[in-house]
Amino acid sequence: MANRAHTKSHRGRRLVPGPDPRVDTLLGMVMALTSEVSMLRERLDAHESLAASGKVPDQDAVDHYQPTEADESRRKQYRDRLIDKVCRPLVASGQQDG
Amino acid sequence: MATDSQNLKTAYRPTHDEAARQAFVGALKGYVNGSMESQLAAEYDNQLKFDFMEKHGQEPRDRYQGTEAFRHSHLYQLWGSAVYTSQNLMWETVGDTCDRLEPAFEARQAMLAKRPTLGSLELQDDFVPPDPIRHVEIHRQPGGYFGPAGSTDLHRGMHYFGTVELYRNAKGLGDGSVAVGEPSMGRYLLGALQRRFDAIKPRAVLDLGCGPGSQTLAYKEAFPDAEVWGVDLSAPFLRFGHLWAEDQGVAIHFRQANASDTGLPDAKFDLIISHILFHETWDDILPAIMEEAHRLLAPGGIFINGDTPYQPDRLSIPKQVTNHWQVINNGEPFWTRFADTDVKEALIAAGFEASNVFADYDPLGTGEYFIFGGRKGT
Repeated sequence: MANRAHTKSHRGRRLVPGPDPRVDTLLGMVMALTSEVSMLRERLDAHESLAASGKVPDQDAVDHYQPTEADESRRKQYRDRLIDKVCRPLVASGQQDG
Repeated sequence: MATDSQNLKTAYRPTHDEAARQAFVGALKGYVNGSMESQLAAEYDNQLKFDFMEKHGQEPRDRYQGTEAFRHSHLYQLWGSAVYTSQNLMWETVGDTCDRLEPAFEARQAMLAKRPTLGSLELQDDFVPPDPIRHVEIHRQPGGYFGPAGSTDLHRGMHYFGTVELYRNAKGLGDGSVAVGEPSMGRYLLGALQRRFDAIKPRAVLDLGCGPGSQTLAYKEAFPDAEVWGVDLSAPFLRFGHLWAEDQGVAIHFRQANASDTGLPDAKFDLIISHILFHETWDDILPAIMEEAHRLLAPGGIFINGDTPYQPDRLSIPKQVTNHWQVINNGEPFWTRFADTDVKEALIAAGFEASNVFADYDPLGTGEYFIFGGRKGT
C-alpha cells in the first residue's frame, strides 16, 4: 500500500533538477564561488574590526573572532548585496525569456 | 579544538569561516524562497495564468495544472536550479563543521559511556526501517536518515541537527536568532499547548518521531518530574539524541520504533507531542500513527502536533507549484500528500471524539505553523 508510484520515483539521488544539466552544473559552480567570496569578505571584515580595536589580526585571532551585533548587521548587507548582484542576470534572463 | 571533557553544546561551534559560509547559504535560501518566488508569482499573475487560460479555457485549479502553466518558464527553471544548488551548499557547508567536530563528539561519547546513564537508548540490531522511507533522502540529506545496523555513526544525527535552524529560518519559520541545539521548536509547541489547554502536570511525555532528540529536551525542561521518551525510526538520530541529552545531564529514554507501532504500554502517556513528523511520513501510515497515539494516551491525555502549514486551500497556485517542485526534486516526497489530509477526520477515525480535536494555525516567525491534535476522553 505504501509503495505507490509517486514515492518510488523519489528513490535514489537526483543529480540535477532542471531540463539542462549544464545550467545546474554551472549554477552550482557560480554559487560555490560566490559563497567563497562572501566568506572572504567576512574574513576581511574580521581583520578590519580587529585592527580597529588595536588587536593583531593574525590567523588565530580571525579564526576565533566573534562578530558583534553591528558586525552581523553590516555583514548581512554585504551578503544580500552580493547575492542580489550575482543573481540579477539570472532573474533578468528568466524574465526576458519566460 | 574541543576536548573529551567539553560540553557538546559549547563544542558545537562553527569556525569563523564555516559560520560565514553557512550565513551565505541561509541568505541564498532566503533569496530564492523570498525574492525569486515573488518574481515567479508576478510572472504567473501577469503572463502564465493567461497563457494557460488561452490554451485550456480556465485558470489552473491545482498544483498539477499550475506546474503545467510554469513548465516552460525560464525563471521557474532557474529558480529550481537555484533551490537545488542552495540545498547542496547547505549540506556541504554544515558537513564541513560536522566532519571537523565528529572526533570531539566521539571522544565525549566514549567518556560518557563510562558513567551511569540518566536516560536510556534502545536500538534494535535487526530493525529495518519500512518502505518507502528507508529509500528516501529526506531534504536530500546525503545518505539519508539511516545507517548500517551496528554502526556507531554520529554523523547523520550531527548533520541533520546542524542544518535544521538554518533551513527553518530560510523558510521564514524561525526568528533567526536561535543557536544550533536550542530546543526552540519544543518550547514553541509547549506554548501552543498552553494556548489551548489549562496547565497540565504529565507523569510521562512522548516525543513521537523525535529525530535527533534536541527538541525533546524542552519537554524535560518544562516537566522535570515527568518520564520523557523519544521514539524514532533512525538509529543514528537516536544515538545522537542520547549523547546530546546525557551530555547535558537530562534523563530521556530513546527507543527505536515505528511511530505506528512503538511497543510501549497502553495509556502510558499524559502528553504526546510530535514536531514535523507527519510531513515526513507517507500518508498511508498516518491513520495507524494516530491510532497508536490514542492507544498510548491515558484518559484525558493530550496529543499535539506541529507541522508545515502548506494546506493547498491556504496557498496561491504559484506557492502550490513551488511546494510541489520541492516534493519532486528536493527530498520532500510526503509533503503535499500530508497537506491534502484532513487531520481532524483522521483523529476522529483514530478514536478521538469530534468535540476534542483541533487543527488550526499559530504564528511563527514571519509565517504560521499548523497545530493539530486531540484530547482523549476520560
